[in-house]
Amino acid sequence: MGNTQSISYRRKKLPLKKRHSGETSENLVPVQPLDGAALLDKLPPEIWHLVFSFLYPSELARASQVCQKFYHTIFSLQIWASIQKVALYRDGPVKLLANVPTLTSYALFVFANSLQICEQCFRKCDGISSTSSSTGWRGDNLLDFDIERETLGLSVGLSAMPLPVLLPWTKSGIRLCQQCRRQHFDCYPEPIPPAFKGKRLRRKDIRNRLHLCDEEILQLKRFGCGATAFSFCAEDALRTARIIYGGDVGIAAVGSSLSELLDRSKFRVYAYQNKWDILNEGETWKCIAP
Amino acid sequence: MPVTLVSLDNENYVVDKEVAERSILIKNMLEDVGETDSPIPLPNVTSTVLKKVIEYCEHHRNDPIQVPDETDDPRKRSNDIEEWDMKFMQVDQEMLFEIILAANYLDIKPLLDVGCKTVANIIKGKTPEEIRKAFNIVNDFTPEEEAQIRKENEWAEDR
Repeated sequence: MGNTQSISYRRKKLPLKKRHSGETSENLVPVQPLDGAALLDKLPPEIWHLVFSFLYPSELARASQVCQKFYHTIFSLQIWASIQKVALYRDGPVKLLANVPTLTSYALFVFANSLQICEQCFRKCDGISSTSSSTGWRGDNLLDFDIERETLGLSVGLSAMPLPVLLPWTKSGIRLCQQCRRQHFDCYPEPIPPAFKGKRLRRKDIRNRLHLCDEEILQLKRFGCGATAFSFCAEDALRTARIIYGGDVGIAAVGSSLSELLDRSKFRVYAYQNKWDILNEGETWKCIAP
Repeated sequence: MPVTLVSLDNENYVVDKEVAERSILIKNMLEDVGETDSPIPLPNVTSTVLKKVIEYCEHHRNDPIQVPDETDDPRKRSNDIEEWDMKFMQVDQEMLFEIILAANYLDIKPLLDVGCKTVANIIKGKTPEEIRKAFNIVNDFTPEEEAQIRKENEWAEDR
Protein backbone atom coordinates (compact mmCIF):
# COMPACT_ATOMS: atom_id res chain seq x y z
CA MET A 1 0.00 0.00 0.00
CA GLY A 2 1.00 3.61 -0.20
CA ASN A 3 2.55 2.80 -3.50
CA THR A 4 0.23 4.76 -5.68
CA GLN A 5 2.97 5.42 -8.13
CA SER A 6 2.12 3.64 -11.27
CA ILE A 7 4.58 1.62 -13.25
CA SER A 8 5.91 3.64 -16.11
CA TYR A 9 3.89 3.33 -19.23
CA ARG A 10 6.11 2.44 -22.09
CA ARG A 11 4.64 2.58 -25.43
CA LYS A 12 6.20 1.96 -28.73
CA LYS A 13 5.27 4.24 -31.51
CA LEU A 14 2.40 2.25 -32.80
CA PRO A 15 0.97 3.05 -36.14
CA LEU A 16 -2.33 4.67 -35.32
CA LYS A 17 -4.51 2.20 -37.04
CA LYS A 18 -7.99 3.37 -37.63
CA ARG A 19 -9.89 0.84 -35.60
CA HIS A 20 -13.48 -0.05 -36.07
CA SER A 21 -15.42 1.31 -33.20
CA GLY A 22 -18.53 -0.11 -31.66
CA GLU A 23 -19.32 -3.75 -32.18
CA THR A 24 -17.66 -5.82 -29.52
CA SER A 25 -18.04 -8.84 -31.74
CA GLU A 26 -15.33 -7.28 -33.85
CA ASN A 27 -12.96 -7.64 -30.93
CA LEU A 28 -13.55 -11.33 -30.55
CA VAL A 29 -11.94 -12.14 -33.86
CA PRO A 30 -8.18 -11.86 -33.80
CA VAL A 31 -7.81 -9.73 -36.87
CA GLN A 32 -4.27 -9.62 -38.17
CA PRO A 33 -2.42 -10.54 -35.01
CA LEU A 34 0.73 -8.66 -34.22
CA ASP A 35 3.77 -10.75 -34.67
CA GLY A 36 4.60 -12.36 -31.36
CA ALA A 37 7.75 -10.48 -30.49
CA ALA A 38 6.06 -7.13 -30.92
CA LEU A 39 3.22 -8.32 -28.77
CA LEU A 40 5.53 -9.44 -25.96
CA ASP A 41 7.55 -6.25 -26.14
CA LYS A 42 4.41 -4.25 -25.67
CA LEU A 43 4.30 -5.10 -22.00
CA PRO A 44 7.14 -3.83 -19.80
CA PRO A 45 9.01 -6.34 -17.62
CA GLU A 46 7.15 -5.22 -14.47
CA ILE A 47 3.89 -6.38 -16.01
CA TRP A 48 5.37 -9.69 -17.11
CA HIS A 49 6.54 -10.14 -13.52
CA LEU A 50 2.94 -9.66 -12.42
CA VAL A 51 1.71 -12.16 -15.02
CA PHE A 52 4.33 -14.70 -13.90
CA SER A 53 3.38 -14.22 -10.23
CA PHE A 54 0.24 -16.23 -11.04
CA LEU A 55 2.27 -19.25 -12.14
CA TYR A 56 3.86 -22.06 -10.14
CA PRO A 57 7.58 -22.83 -10.51
CA SER A 58 7.01 -25.78 -12.84
CA GLU A 59 4.73 -23.65 -15.03
CA LEU A 60 7.45 -20.99 -15.12
CA ALA A 61 10.03 -23.62 -15.99
CA ARG A 62 7.97 -24.62 -18.97
CA ALA A 63 7.29 -21.06 -20.07
CA SER A 64 11.01 -20.24 -19.92
CA GLN A 65 11.53 -22.54 -22.91
CA VAL A 66 9.29 -20.48 -25.15
CA CYS A 67 11.65 -17.75 -26.34
CA GLN A 68 14.57 -15.54 -25.29
CA LYS A 69 12.29 -12.89 -23.87
CA PHE A 70 10.44 -15.32 -21.59
CA TYR A 71 13.69 -17.05 -20.68
CA HIS A 72 15.37 -13.88 -19.50
CA THR A 73 12.34 -12.49 -17.76
CA ILE A 74 11.63 -15.72 -15.91
CA PHE A 75 15.26 -16.26 -14.94
CA SER A 76 15.33 -12.82 -13.34
CA LEU A 77 12.34 -13.42 -11.07
CA GLN A 78 12.81 -13.06 -7.32
CA ILE A 79 10.92 -16.30 -6.75
CA TRP A 80 14.12 -18.33 -7.31
CA ALA A 81 15.82 -16.48 -4.46
CA SER A 82 12.83 -17.13 -2.21
CA ILE A 83 12.75 -20.82 -3.04
CA GLN A 84 16.44 -21.44 -2.56
CA LYS A 85 16.25 -19.61 0.76
CA VAL A 86 13.49 -21.88 2.07
CA ALA A 87 14.43 -25.11 0.34
CA LEU A 88 18.16 -25.26 0.38
CA TYR A 89 19.28 -23.48 3.53
CA ARG A 90 20.25 -26.76 5.16
CA ASP A 91 22.62 -27.59 2.34
CA GLY A 92 24.58 -24.42 2.96
CA PRO A 93 24.89 -21.49 0.57
CA VAL A 94 24.30 -22.21 -3.09
CA LYS A 95 27.53 -22.36 -5.05
CA LEU A 96 26.90 -19.52 -7.45
CA LEU A 97 27.98 -20.03 -11.02
CA ALA A 98 30.80 -17.77 -12.13
CA ASN A 99 29.87 -14.93 -14.48
CA VAL A 100 26.20 -15.80 -14.36
CA PRO A 101 23.55 -13.52 -12.84
CA THR A 102 22.82 -14.55 -9.24
CA LEU A 103 19.13 -15.15 -9.84
CA THR A 104 19.95 -17.36 -12.84
CA SER A 105 22.25 -19.42 -10.64
CA TYR A 106 19.53 -19.76 -8.04
CA ALA A 107 17.01 -20.73 -10.68
CA LEU A 108 19.27 -23.41 -12.15
CA PHE A 109 20.03 -24.82 -8.72
CA VAL A 110 16.34 -24.87 -7.83
CA PHE A 111 15.62 -26.58 -11.16
CA ALA A 112 18.22 -29.21 -10.31
CA ASN A 113 16.44 -29.93 -7.02
CA SER A 114 12.93 -29.68 -8.42
CA LEU A 115 11.90 -33.28 -7.76
CA GLN A 116 12.29 -32.72 -4.04
CA ILE A 117 10.89 -29.22 -3.68
CA CYS A 118 7.25 -28.50 -2.82
CA GLU A 119 5.93 -25.86 -5.20
CA GLN A 120 3.57 -24.54 -2.55
CA CYS A 121 5.66 -24.18 0.63
CA PHE A 122 9.06 -24.41 -1.15
CA ARG A 123 10.43 -26.84 1.42
CA LYS A 124 12.76 -29.55 0.25
CA CYS A 125 11.87 -33.10 1.21
CA ASP A 126 14.71 -35.51 1.67
CA GLY A 127 12.42 -38.47 1.79
CA ILE A 128 12.48 -41.56 3.84
CA SER A 129 12.37 -45.18 2.90
CA SER A 130 13.40 -48.52 4.23
CA THR A 131 16.58 -48.11 2.26
CA SER A 132 17.29 -44.67 3.69
CA SER A 133 20.02 -45.88 6.00
CA SER A 134 21.92 -47.45 3.17
CA THR A 135 21.66 -44.51 0.81
CA GLY A 136 22.33 -42.04 3.55
CA TRP A 137 19.28 -39.99 2.74
CA ARG A 138 17.26 -39.19 5.78
CA GLY A 139 15.21 -36.06 6.12
CA ASP A 140 14.92 -34.08 9.29
CA ASN A 141 11.70 -32.52 8.13
CA LEU A 142 9.68 -35.66 8.56
CA LEU A 143 6.61 -35.73 10.67
CA ASP A 144 6.60 -37.92 13.75
CA PHE A 145 4.04 -40.29 12.39
CA ASP A 146 6.07 -40.96 9.25
CA ILE A 147 8.85 -42.23 11.47
CA GLU A 148 6.29 -44.11 13.53
CA ARG A 149 4.98 -45.79 10.40
CA GLU A 150 8.48 -46.80 9.43
CA THR A 151 8.92 -48.53 12.76
CA LEU A 152 5.59 -50.25 12.16
CA GLY A 153 7.11 -51.67 9.03
CA LEU A 154 5.00 -49.55 6.69
CA SER A 155 7.29 -48.00 4.15
CA VAL A 156 5.98 -44.50 3.55
CA GLY A 157 8.23 -44.32 0.52
CA LEU A 158 7.36 -41.86 -2.18
CA SER A 159 4.22 -40.65 -0.42
CA ALA A 160 6.39 -38.44 1.78
CA MET A 161 7.77 -36.68 -1.29
CA PRO A 162 6.27 -33.83 -3.28
CA LEU A 163 3.87 -35.40 -5.79
CA PRO A 164 2.08 -33.78 -8.74
CA VAL A 165 -1.49 -32.76 -7.95
CA LEU A 166 -3.89 -31.10 -10.35
CA LEU A 167 -5.27 -28.05 -8.54
CA PRO A 168 -8.59 -26.41 -9.41
CA TRP A 169 -6.68 -23.38 -10.69
CA THR A 170 -3.99 -25.22 -12.65
CA LYS A 171 -4.04 -27.23 -15.83
CA SER A 172 -1.00 -29.36 -15.03
CA GLY A 173 0.13 -31.26 -11.95
CA ILE A 174 1.87 -29.15 -9.30
CA ARG A 175 4.32 -30.94 -7.02
CA LEU A 176 3.08 -30.66 -3.43
CA CYS A 177 4.63 -32.12 -0.30
CA GLN A 178 2.59 -34.38 1.95
CA GLN A 179 1.62 -31.58 4.31
CA CYS A 180 0.55 -29.22 1.55
CA ARG A 181 -1.45 -32.03 -0.05
CA ARG A 182 -3.25 -32.62 3.24
CA GLN A 183 -4.08 -28.95 3.55
CA HIS A 184 -5.22 -28.77 -0.02
CA PHE A 185 -7.48 -31.82 0.10
CA ASP A 186 -8.86 -30.57 3.40
CA CYS A 187 -10.24 -27.56 1.51
CA TYR A 188 -10.99 -29.44 -1.71
CA PRO A 189 -11.90 -33.01 -0.76
CA GLU A 190 -11.56 -35.65 -3.45
CA PRO A 191 -14.86 -37.32 -4.34
CA ILE A 192 -15.53 -40.79 -2.94
CA PRO A 193 -15.40 -43.27 -5.84
CA PRO A 194 -18.39 -45.62 -6.30
CA ALA A 195 -16.23 -48.59 -5.31
CA PHE A 196 -16.09 -47.14 -1.79
CA LYS A 197 -19.51 -45.53 -1.44
CA GLY A 198 -21.54 -47.41 1.16
CA LYS A 199 -19.18 -50.38 0.85
CA ARG A 200 -17.42 -52.40 3.49
CA LEU A 201 -13.83 -53.53 3.65
CA ARG A 202 -12.06 -56.15 5.65
CA ARG A 203 -9.13 -55.40 7.83
CA LYS A 204 -6.72 -57.22 5.55
CA ASP A 205 -7.84 -55.25 2.51
CA ILE A 206 -7.60 -51.98 4.35
CA ARG A 207 -4.09 -52.83 5.41
CA ASN A 208 -3.02 -53.83 1.90
CA ARG A 209 -4.84 -51.31 -0.22
CA LEU A 210 -4.99 -48.24 2.00
CA HIS A 211 -1.92 -48.90 4.15
CA LEU A 212 -3.55 -48.23 7.49
CA CYS A 213 -2.13 -49.83 10.60
CA ASP A 214 -4.21 -51.86 13.04
CA GLU A 215 -4.55 -49.05 15.50
CA GLU A 216 -6.03 -46.80 12.86
CA ILE A 217 -8.28 -49.52 11.53
CA LEU A 218 -9.77 -50.13 14.96
CA GLN A 219 -10.91 -46.53 15.08
CA LEU A 220 -12.94 -46.83 11.90
CA LYS A 221 -16.69 -47.26 11.84
CA ARG A 222 -17.32 -51.01 11.79
CA PHE A 223 -20.08 -53.40 10.89
CA GLY A 224 -20.90 -56.82 12.18
CA CYS A 225 -19.66 -58.48 15.30
CA GLY A 226 -19.31 -61.84 16.89
CA ALA A 227 -18.71 -64.71 14.56
CA THR A 228 -18.73 -62.64 11.35
CA ALA A 229 -15.38 -61.11 10.72
CA PHE A 230 -15.34 -57.43 11.39
CA SER A 231 -15.81 -55.34 8.36
CA PHE A 232 -15.21 -51.63 8.27
CA CYS A 233 -16.73 -48.67 6.53
CA ALA A 234 -14.79 -48.34 3.28
CA GLU A 235 -15.53 -44.65 2.92
CA ASP A 236 -14.25 -43.99 6.39
CA ALA A 237 -11.10 -45.99 5.72
CA LEU A 238 -10.42 -44.14 2.48
CA ARG A 239 -10.91 -40.78 4.13
CA THR A 240 -8.49 -41.68 6.91
CA ALA A 241 -5.84 -42.93 4.47
CA ARG A 242 -6.20 -39.80 2.36
CA ILE A 243 -5.59 -37.62 5.37
CA ILE A 244 -2.57 -39.63 6.44
CA TYR A 245 -0.85 -39.91 3.06
CA GLY A 246 -2.04 -36.69 1.48
CA GLY A 247 -4.73 -37.71 -0.99
CA ASP A 248 -5.08 -40.57 -3.44
CA VAL A 249 -1.79 -39.72 -5.11
CA GLY A 250 -0.12 -40.20 -1.70
CA ILE A 251 -1.83 -43.52 -1.03
CA ALA A 252 -0.77 -44.78 -4.44
CA ALA A 253 2.83 -43.84 -3.72
CA VAL A 254 3.09 -45.67 -0.41
CA GLY A 255 5.79 -48.26 -0.51
CA SER A 256 7.13 -47.29 -3.95
CA SER A 257 10.83 -47.03 -4.01
CA LEU A 258 12.37 -43.66 -3.42
CA SER A 259 15.75 -44.51 -4.79
CA GLU A 260 14.85 -43.96 -8.44
CA LEU A 261 13.63 -40.44 -7.73
CA LEU A 262 16.52 -39.61 -5.45
CA ASP A 263 19.00 -40.91 -8.02
CA ARG A 264 17.52 -38.69 -10.71
CA SER A 265 17.64 -35.78 -8.33
CA LYS A 266 21.25 -36.44 -7.36
CA PHE A 267 22.20 -36.70 -10.99
CA ARG A 268 20.72 -33.28 -11.72
CA VAL A 269 22.48 -31.67 -8.77
CA TYR A 270 25.67 -33.32 -9.97
CA ALA A 271 25.16 -31.74 -13.40
CA TYR A 272 24.88 -28.35 -11.73
CA GLN A 273 28.10 -28.95 -9.78
CA ASN A 274 29.73 -29.95 -13.00
CA LYS A 275 28.68 -26.72 -14.66
CA TRP A 276 30.03 -24.86 -11.64
CA ASP A 277 33.41 -26.55 -12.02
CA ILE A 278 33.59 -25.80 -15.72
CA LEU A 279 32.63 -22.15 -15.34
CA ASN A 280 35.04 -21.75 -12.48
CA GLU A 281 37.86 -22.95 -14.66
CA GLY A 282 37.29 -19.97 -16.86
CA GLU A 283 34.96 -21.42 -19.41
CA THR A 284 32.42 -18.84 -20.44
CA TRP A 285 28.67 -19.15 -20.10
CA LYS A 286 27.83 -20.51 -23.49
CA CYS A 287 24.15 -20.28 -23.39
CA ILE A 288 21.64 -17.49 -23.82
CA ALA A 289 23.65 -14.37 -23.18
CA PRO A 290 21.29 -11.63 -22.09
CA MET B 1 -20.53 15.58 -10.93
CA PRO B 2 -19.53 14.26 -14.33
CA VAL B 3 -15.95 14.26 -15.52
CA THR B 4 -14.78 14.54 -19.11
CA LEU B 5 -12.00 12.24 -20.24
CA VAL B 6 -10.14 12.85 -23.47
CA SER B 7 -8.46 10.03 -25.33
CA LEU B 8 -5.26 10.15 -27.35
CA ASP B 9 -7.26 10.58 -30.54
CA ASN B 10 -9.28 13.42 -29.02
CA GLU B 11 -12.52 11.66 -28.32
CA ASN B 12 -14.41 13.01 -25.33
CA TYR B 13 -16.09 10.73 -22.83
CA VAL B 14 -18.31 12.08 -20.07
CA VAL B 15 -18.51 9.77 -17.07
CA ASP B 16 -19.62 10.01 -13.46
CA LYS B 17 -16.90 11.05 -11.06
CA GLU B 18 -17.44 7.83 -9.16
CA VAL B 19 -16.71 5.85 -12.30
CA ALA B 20 -13.65 7.89 -13.25
CA GLU B 21 -12.26 7.52 -9.75
CA ARG B 22 -11.90 3.78 -10.20
CA SER B 23 -8.66 5.01 -11.73
CA ILE B 24 -6.34 6.03 -8.93
CA LEU B 25 -4.45 8.23 -11.37
CA ILE B 26 -7.59 10.22 -12.16
CA LYS B 27 -8.70 10.19 -8.53
CA ASN B 28 -5.40 11.74 -7.45
CA MET B 29 -5.57 14.26 -10.29
CA LEU B 30 -9.05 15.35 -9.27
CA GLU B 31 -7.97 15.64 -5.65
CA ASP B 32 -5.03 17.81 -6.64
CA VAL B 33 -7.03 20.04 -8.92
CA GLY B 34 -10.18 20.23 -6.86
CA GLU B 35 -13.57 20.92 -8.41
CA THR B 36 -13.04 21.47 -12.09
CA ASP B 37 -14.92 21.34 -15.35
CA SER B 38 -11.88 21.10 -17.52
CA PRO B 39 -11.50 17.83 -19.37
CA ILE B 40 -8.80 15.38 -18.33
CA PRO B 41 -6.45 14.43 -21.14
CA LEU B 42 -5.30 10.81 -21.21
CA PRO B 43 -2.61 10.97 -23.87
CA ASN B 44 -1.65 7.31 -23.47
CA VAL B 45 -5.01 5.75 -24.16
CA THR B 46 -6.77 5.42 -27.49
CA SER B 47 -10.53 5.79 -27.70
CA THR B 48 -11.13 2.11 -28.44
CA VAL B 49 -9.26 1.12 -25.29
CA LEU B 50 -10.66 3.94 -23.18
CA LYS B 51 -14.19 2.93 -24.10
CA LYS B 52 -13.45 -0.59 -22.95
CA VAL B 53 -11.89 0.63 -19.70
CA ILE B 54 -14.87 2.88 -18.98
CA GLU B 55 -17.17 -0.09 -19.56
CA TYR B 56 -15.22 -1.95 -16.88
CA CYS B 57 -15.31 0.97 -14.45
CA GLU B 58 -19.04 1.45 -14.99
CA HIS B 59 -19.68 -2.18 -14.13
CA HIS B 60 -17.46 -2.06 -11.07
CA ARG B 61 -18.45 1.42 -9.89
CA ASN B 62 -19.77 0.17 -6.56
CA ASP B 63 -17.08 -2.38 -5.77
CA PRO B 64 -15.42 -1.93 -2.40
CA ILE B 65 -11.82 -0.78 -2.60
CA GLN B 66 -9.56 -3.82 -2.66
CA VAL B 67 -7.35 -4.19 0.33
CA PRO B 68 -4.25 -6.00 -0.82
CA ASP B 69 -3.60 -8.99 1.38
CA GLU B 70 0.11 -9.63 1.41
CA THR B 71 -0.29 -13.13 2.76
CA ASP B 72 -2.53 -14.53 0.05
CA ASP B 73 -0.95 -16.57 -2.70
CA PRO B 74 -1.48 -15.03 -6.14
CA ARG B 75 -1.16 -18.50 -7.66
CA LYS B 76 -4.34 -19.57 -5.89
CA ARG B 77 -6.23 -16.53 -7.12
CA SER B 78 -5.40 -17.11 -10.74
CA ASN B 79 -8.76 -18.67 -11.61
CA ASP B 80 -10.69 -16.36 -9.35
CA ILE B 81 -12.22 -14.23 -12.10
CA GLU B 82 -15.82 -13.06 -12.05
CA GLU B 83 -17.98 -14.25 -14.89
CA TRP B 84 -18.59 -10.74 -16.15
CA ASP B 85 -14.86 -10.01 -16.11
CA MET B 86 -14.15 -13.23 -17.95
CA LYS B 87 -16.52 -12.23 -20.75
CA PHE B 88 -15.12 -8.71 -20.70
CA MET B 89 -11.65 -10.12 -21.27
CA GLN B 90 -12.67 -12.14 -24.31
CA VAL B 91 -10.98 -9.84 -26.76
CA ASP B 92 -8.15 -10.33 -29.19
CA GLN B 93 -4.67 -10.34 -27.73
CA GLU B 94 -3.70 -6.94 -28.96
CA MET B 95 -6.70 -5.45 -27.17
CA LEU B 96 -6.00 -7.55 -24.09
CA PHE B 97 -2.46 -6.16 -23.90
CA GLU B 98 -3.73 -2.63 -24.54
CA ILE B 99 -6.21 -2.95 -21.68
CA ILE B 100 -3.45 -4.16 -19.36
CA LEU B 101 -1.25 -1.22 -20.34
CA ALA B 102 -4.10 1.25 -19.85
CA ALA B 103 -4.99 -0.28 -16.48
CA ASN B 104 -1.37 0.07 -15.46
CA TYR B 105 -1.15 3.68 -16.62
CA LEU B 106 -4.49 4.67 -15.13
CA ASP B 107 -3.68 2.70 -11.99
CA ILE B 108 -6.78 0.51 -11.87
CA LYS B 109 -5.40 -2.38 -9.82
CA PRO B 110 -8.31 -4.84 -10.14
CA LEU B 111 -8.37 -4.46 -13.92
CA LEU B 112 -4.59 -4.86 -14.15
CA ASP B 113 -4.94 -7.95 -11.99
CA VAL B 114 -7.66 -9.55 -14.06
CA GLY B 115 -5.79 -8.76 -17.27
CA CYS B 116 -2.57 -10.37 -16.04
CA LYS B 117 -4.49 -13.39 -14.75
CA THR B 118 -6.01 -13.78 -18.21
CA VAL B 119 -2.54 -13.83 -19.79
CA ALA B 120 -1.28 -16.24 -17.11
CA ASN B 121 -4.21 -18.56 -17.80
CA ILE B 122 -3.32 -18.65 -21.49
CA ILE B 123 0.17 -19.87 -20.51
CA LYS B 124 -1.04 -22.49 -18.01
CA GLY B 125 -0.97 -26.15 -18.86
CA LYS B 126 0.61 -25.57 -22.26
CA THR B 127 3.83 -26.96 -23.65
CA PRO B 128 6.37 -24.37 -24.85
CA GLU B 129 5.28 -25.03 -28.43
CA GLU B 130 1.63 -24.50 -27.55
CA ILE B 131 2.47 -21.26 -25.76
CA ARG B 132 4.32 -20.06 -28.85
CA LYS B 133 1.28 -20.83 -30.94
CA ALA B 134 -1.06 -19.09 -28.51
CA PHE B 135 0.92 -15.84 -28.68
CA ASN B 136 2.23 -16.22 -32.20
CA ILE B 137 5.80 -16.21 -30.88
CA VAL B 138 8.74 -17.37 -32.96
CA ASN B 139 11.19 -19.77 -31.35
CA ASP B 140 14.34 -17.64 -31.35
CA PHE B 141 16.67 -20.13 -29.66
CA THR B 142 19.43 -21.77 -31.64
CA PRO B 143 19.24 -25.58 -31.65
CA GLU B 144 22.22 -25.70 -29.22
CA GLU B 145 20.54 -23.27 -26.86
CA GLU B 146 17.35 -25.21 -26.99
CA ALA B 147 19.14 -28.47 -26.21
CA GLN B 148 20.89 -26.89 -23.26
CA ILE B 149 17.73 -25.32 -21.88
CA ARG B 150 15.95 -28.62 -22.12
CA LYS B 151 18.76 -30.29 -20.21
CA GLU B 152 18.78 -27.70 -17.46
CA ASN B 153 15.08 -27.62 -17.32
CA GLU B 154 13.93 -31.18 -16.95
CA TRP B 155 11.41 -29.88 -14.46
CA ALA B 156 9.15 -28.98 -17.29
CA GLU B 157 9.15 -32.58 -18.46
CA ASP B 158 8.52 -34.18 -15.06
CA ARG B 159 4.86 -34.75 -15.56
